[in-house]
Amino acid sequence: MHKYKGSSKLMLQPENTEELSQILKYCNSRCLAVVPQGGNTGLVGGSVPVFDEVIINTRRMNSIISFDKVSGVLVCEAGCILENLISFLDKQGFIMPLDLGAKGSCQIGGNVSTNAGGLRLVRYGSLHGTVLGLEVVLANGDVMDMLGTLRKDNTGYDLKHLFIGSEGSLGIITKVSILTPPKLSSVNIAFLACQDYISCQKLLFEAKRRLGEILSAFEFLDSRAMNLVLNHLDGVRNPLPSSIYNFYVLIETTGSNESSDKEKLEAFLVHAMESGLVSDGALAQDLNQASSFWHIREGIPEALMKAGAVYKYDLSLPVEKMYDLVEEMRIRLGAEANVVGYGHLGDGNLHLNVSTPQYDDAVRFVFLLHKSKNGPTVLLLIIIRTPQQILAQIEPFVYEWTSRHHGSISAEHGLGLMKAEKIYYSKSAGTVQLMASIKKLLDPSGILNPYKVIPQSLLS
Amino acid sequence: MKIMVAIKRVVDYAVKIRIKSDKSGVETTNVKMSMNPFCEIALEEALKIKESGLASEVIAVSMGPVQCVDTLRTGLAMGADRAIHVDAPATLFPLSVAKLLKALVEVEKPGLLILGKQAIDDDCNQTGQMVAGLLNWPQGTFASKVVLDKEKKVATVDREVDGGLETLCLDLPAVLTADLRLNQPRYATLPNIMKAKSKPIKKMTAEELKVELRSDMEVVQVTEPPKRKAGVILSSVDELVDKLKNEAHIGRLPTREALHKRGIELDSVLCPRCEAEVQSVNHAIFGCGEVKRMWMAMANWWKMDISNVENFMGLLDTTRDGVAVTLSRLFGKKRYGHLHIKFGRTVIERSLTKT
Ligand SMILES: Cc1cc2nc3c(=O)[nH]c(=O)nc-3n(C[C@H](O)[C@H](O)[C@H](O)COP(=O)(O)OP(=O)(O)OC[C@H]3O[C@@H](n4cnc5c(N)ncnc54)[C@H](O)[C@@H]3O)c2cc1C
Repeated sequence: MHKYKGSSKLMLQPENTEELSQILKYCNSRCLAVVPQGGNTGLVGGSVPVFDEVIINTRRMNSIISFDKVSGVLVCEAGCILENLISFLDKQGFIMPLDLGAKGSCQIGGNVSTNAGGLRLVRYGSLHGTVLGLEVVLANGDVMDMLGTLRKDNTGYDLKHLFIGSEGSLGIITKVSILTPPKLSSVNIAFLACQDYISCQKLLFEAKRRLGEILSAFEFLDSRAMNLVLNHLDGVRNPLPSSIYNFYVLIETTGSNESSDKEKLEAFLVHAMESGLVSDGALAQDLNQASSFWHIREGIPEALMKAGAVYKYDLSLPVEKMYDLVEEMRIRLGAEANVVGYGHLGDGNLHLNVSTPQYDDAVRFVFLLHKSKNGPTVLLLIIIRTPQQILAQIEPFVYEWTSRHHGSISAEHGLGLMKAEKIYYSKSAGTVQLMASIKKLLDPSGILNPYKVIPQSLLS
Repeated sequence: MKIMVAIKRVVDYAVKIRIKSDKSGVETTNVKMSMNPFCEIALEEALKIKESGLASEVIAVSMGPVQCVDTLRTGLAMGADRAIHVDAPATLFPLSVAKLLKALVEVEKPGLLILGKQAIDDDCNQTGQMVAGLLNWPQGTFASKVVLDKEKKVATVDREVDGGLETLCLDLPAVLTADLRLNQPRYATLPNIMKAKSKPIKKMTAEELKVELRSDMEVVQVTEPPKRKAGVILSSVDELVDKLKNEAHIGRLPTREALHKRGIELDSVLCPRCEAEVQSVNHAIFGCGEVKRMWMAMANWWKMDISNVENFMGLLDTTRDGVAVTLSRLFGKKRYGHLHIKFGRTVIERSLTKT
């Protein structure tokens, strides 16, 4: 990401729960801080050692333990790479209930620890629903076996939920049991153009009604995101080159009957076109076209990275308010930055990204000695506005705005290092206090992922 | 002028092919089917020609079971004006398809018949050639560029052939088959999908076209290609040399000497490179002048003396450490990390004492 620089002298790669437990036990007894790390694709600096933390990386714990074809329950180690799980399940006729752009590197343990959302949440719900059990190692090395495979289990507190989305601050996840849906053979993808944001909203409203059970993704991007992808990624082709549109929407349906699904989708699209919600669109005719449509949406983070520095915000907002923030930000920042909006519209999740040519932490002063021919020498001082000042323009504005509209300042990426101190924008003081108590109970020496998730002041 | 385009429905290019358990063919139930990618290119070319004003109508035709209509709809959504579906069993061989196409051409009288160069399911690459023969029309196969001259009634076609491009001038009417680089097919856009709904798809049968669907061929069995053996990562050069000596079957290389011994008639058993000695295995990979010079240069780089080495096996033995260094440089520390440390140091020590 070029954004966070880690500093650590040691990385350990345990091979199993036992080794990991030994490591934590030792570190805890010596008060050595650790940072759990999966695929290191997290976007809020959660997996980065801040000072001298020992990195505990789970990449070698990557075996699949069991898969039950009847129930669809997969049990595997935390270090399994998401894409490998996807291809393993594909052979069995199943899919993972989550999919995201970082699938080639991120690990299931990291996904669960960040409660990653991704592209299929609109259909299969969050990991709080699909994760059935976890094995977790606590800070003191104790192994908690909560690796159930039952869909229903109401015996006492369901503690696994504490670890889903706690970003490695309460324990290290070593095994995951997860419910996987069967792979359905008929997948259709449409790439649509809308003239304004209100049309995107109405389209979502209509899609939920008319596509109902087969709707599996509803993603949107604005024209700036589209341009970034077209300019920075190789081999990407604009599916709708005849004109420039303000918004693009990607709709995916997944069902079991090819011809009726396609008919349903086409009828919906024709209706959307006739009623003016959609200005143009293309329907993938084969898998190759389908994956090139997805590539546009999934390629946005990479395109942003290639475009220079990027300030990323992952916000949950009421759908009707969502794009107002992008527009207000554009007015605030003027021509200095490229403000890009895209995301999981179906889940009310906006990815607001501010792209500038480079990161810079200081204000730059340039001194020039100007010597005119016969006059005196003048010292000119020029102050260059740097992105640091851009950051001051973005924050806390973006958080305040989100808070005012009852949104969440982190929809799916987590708080990590970036937003630990910002938690109050989305959670009440009492709630955060309770979180701190839980943290202290589970990790009294504070060795697990320090400086992340919870404000420092509450833990010292 | 009308253009007729042949379209085949095949298992989607991105789907992993599975063989039916009874080995009678490829599994197609519950498998995503799409238009053959080369047919898409053929159709795109026809549409472009029409858009440039050189053709009046594009007719998409497909033969096979009723699901071919879906594929024809895709063709119509891309921009074909109308379609013809010839009802036929799923497994048609190229000659039958060519006969049906010939019959359709006689009905529709197009000025151009465009096909894909081959279908990605059976990879036959025969239909275009056969139908050209049956119609007695000129053919431009593997077309990577097509230019039409309506006045002179000729098509200029660039073809991708071994070693370059061939340019042909064909009198119309003619048959073209599309290669990969001819164009990039368009997407089916919503307005065109909507328009396609009202475009006609005519249904015909082989009997109506007076074609007897008979085949002189029978598929005996369909099997998967043998699985490629997984590669192995070796942990030391000793192991590598051992494998080269004992498992690589170097002795079985098809050199001229070996071929001659197997009773294959050759003009000469002399090495085609130097034409001075018999091309034995050892000559080919060690003894022949240029090859020997390459080994000498390598040995020089490794700071080793191979002037007394007599054959390839001897070379392997003498230059173990050099091979190790080369491999670790080629593949980096990652894979040969352990090797690099172990052998890298010995070599450095050695070169120190030698110089
Ligand atoms: C291109 C791209 C697209 C993305 N798209 C999405 C998206 O659509 N939706 C979404 O929600 N996110 C998305 N993300 C961010 C997402 O949070 C991460 O990619 C992923 O979930 C993190 O997995 P990881 O294995 O890389 O974890 P890491 O980055 O290594 O770690 C993430 C956090 O989890 C902790 N952690 C990791 N493993 C463990 C473990 N075994 N036990 C305890 N704690 C652990 C770390 O300490 C850290 O705090 C995207 C990221 C990229 C780069």
